[in-house]
Amino acid sequence: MNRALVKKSISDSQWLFLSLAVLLFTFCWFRVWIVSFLEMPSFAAVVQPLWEKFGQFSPVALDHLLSYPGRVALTFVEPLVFLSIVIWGIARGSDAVSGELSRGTMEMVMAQPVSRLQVLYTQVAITLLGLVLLCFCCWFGIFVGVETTQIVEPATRPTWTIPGTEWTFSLPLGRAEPRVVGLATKVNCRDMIPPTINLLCLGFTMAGLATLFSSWDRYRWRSIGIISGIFILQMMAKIGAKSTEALEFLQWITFLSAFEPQIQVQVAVDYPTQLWSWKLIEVAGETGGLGPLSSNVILLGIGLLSYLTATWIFCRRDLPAPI
Amino acid sequence: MLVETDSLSKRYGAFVALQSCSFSISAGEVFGLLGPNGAGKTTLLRLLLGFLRPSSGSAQIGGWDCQRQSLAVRKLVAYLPGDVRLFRSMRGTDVLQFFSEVRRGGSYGKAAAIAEELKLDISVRVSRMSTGMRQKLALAAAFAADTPLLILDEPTANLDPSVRKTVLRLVEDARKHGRTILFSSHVLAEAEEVCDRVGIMRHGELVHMQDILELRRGHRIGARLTGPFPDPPGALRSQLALQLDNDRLTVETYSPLGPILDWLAGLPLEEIRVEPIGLRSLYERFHSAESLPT
Repeated sequence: MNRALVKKSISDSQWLFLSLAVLLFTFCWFRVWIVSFLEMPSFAAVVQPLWEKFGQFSPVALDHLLSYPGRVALTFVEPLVFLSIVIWGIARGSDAVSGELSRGTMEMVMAQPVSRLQVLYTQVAITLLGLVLLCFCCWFGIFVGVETTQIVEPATRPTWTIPGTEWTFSLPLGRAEPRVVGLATKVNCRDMIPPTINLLCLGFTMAGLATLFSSWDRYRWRSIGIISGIFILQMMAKIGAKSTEALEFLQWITFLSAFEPQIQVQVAVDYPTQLWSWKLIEVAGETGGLGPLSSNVILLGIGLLSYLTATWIFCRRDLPAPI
Repeated sequence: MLVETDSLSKRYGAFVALQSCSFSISAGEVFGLLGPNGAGKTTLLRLLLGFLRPSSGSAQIGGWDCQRQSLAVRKLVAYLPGDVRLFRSMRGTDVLQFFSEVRRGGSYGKAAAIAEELKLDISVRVSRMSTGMRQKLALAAAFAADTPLLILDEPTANLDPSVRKTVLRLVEDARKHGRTILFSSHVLAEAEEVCDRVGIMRHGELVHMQDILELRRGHRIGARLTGPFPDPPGALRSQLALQLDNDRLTVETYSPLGPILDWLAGLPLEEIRVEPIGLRSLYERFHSAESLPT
């Protein structure tokens, strides 16, 4: 890897990276803190009436959604979070070839004694490093949020357990008082690692696809347009598949089916033995479905295939003169 | 030979950008490529750098194939593009630093000294530089690279006359240091001044190669004929290119003028004019006056 190319690539991406890193860290912290504003019974009162009509859009069971890990896991499907990762992937991926060609700087770079592979993979390396750091910022924001947020538990009467037995009684004369506890007592931040990895894999796929379209185009705006269009279509397919049984087949044509951070949290919390399984044996009483490992491998596979195809195209194409 | 092409061609569908171009440049030579816009000069240079894949034919620099061994080729070449685009977010100093670091043996100090010679303030951000300033910055980066071959695509475009002179001097200096220079230009006077040889391109074809020393020996004699025109003597016949248009006689020759003038003195001629042939008139033979560069 050429040091000058690495420095240039970092310099090209530093402002986008810094702004997204700050955004992801503060938003994730804020989003977790927000959880403390709505006590669980109130949250359940909001969600339960809607469940009958909109429950099919939730990838996890109601019980899990009404738990603190379930509520914190919603952070990963906040548009601001996953779109930040998607934006990083598209912005950096599209810049790889068509970005340099659009600006006319590819000519000066390729006139130097550096191979096309070096030029492409230096950019890819910085993109992936940035992606890992952004996902870490997201997890770290959640971690700080969980560690610093306190929640109020609903008032319950004090209990007494008969020594030497498992019999516990609620004391009728005791005063029922709400209890303030740290969110960390309810949420283990290690359970947020699998969804963070799932988010990372989504970013890898988007960066790979954007690099693929960038590698054969000469206009960056067109590469961005194409990959954004693909992402929107994939989103529509995912939503369509969940809307009605007639459109359920759409889940097989969208790679976003493999982006399910909420399921990954549910598996981590409720079925830890299946955390890195290829296929889920049982989740929420149902069998089947992609295991966390399969989901991530699908996303990584698409990204890797895109990068390999992009390399093949870029190493063989003509580099047009700047317009 | 440092540069060698063999029937090099580039087509885009039906459009032929370069047609069967074969030529060679020896080490230490300054070679100029001349031709109007669209003649194929830049396509030829981009093929040599491996930016484009040839449709047919091949090119070699320093024995390396320009297509298959492009990396080895680019180790031997410093390049100035015709349309200089640099990294807009960087300052001039950063750009020179980048080019000196990206190439093994690059020298920032040398590049900065050339920039100073070109009267360029390298502390300015590229986005605030004028076209001429960016051209100077790219020139500094190209000349500072320690490579045996310099490829310059219209190096003096966008520059004021005094800086043009400096650039031509840099070309001369590079030649003195044994570097080979291949440059395309629209300015015939500059090409005539610094080149050892020129190639004239038209519609993607290299239509003429000219040794500049030989060109300097060439003269054109124009006169009005007032009587019958006899055939030239046998000894001179092969040295002359004659053209008779009504009473206007034009004689072109690359031979010593003495014997020719002696012969012409005995002919019925008036209004005799003797002038060096020059690159301009050579160029005019292949390109109409409308496409003639200044």
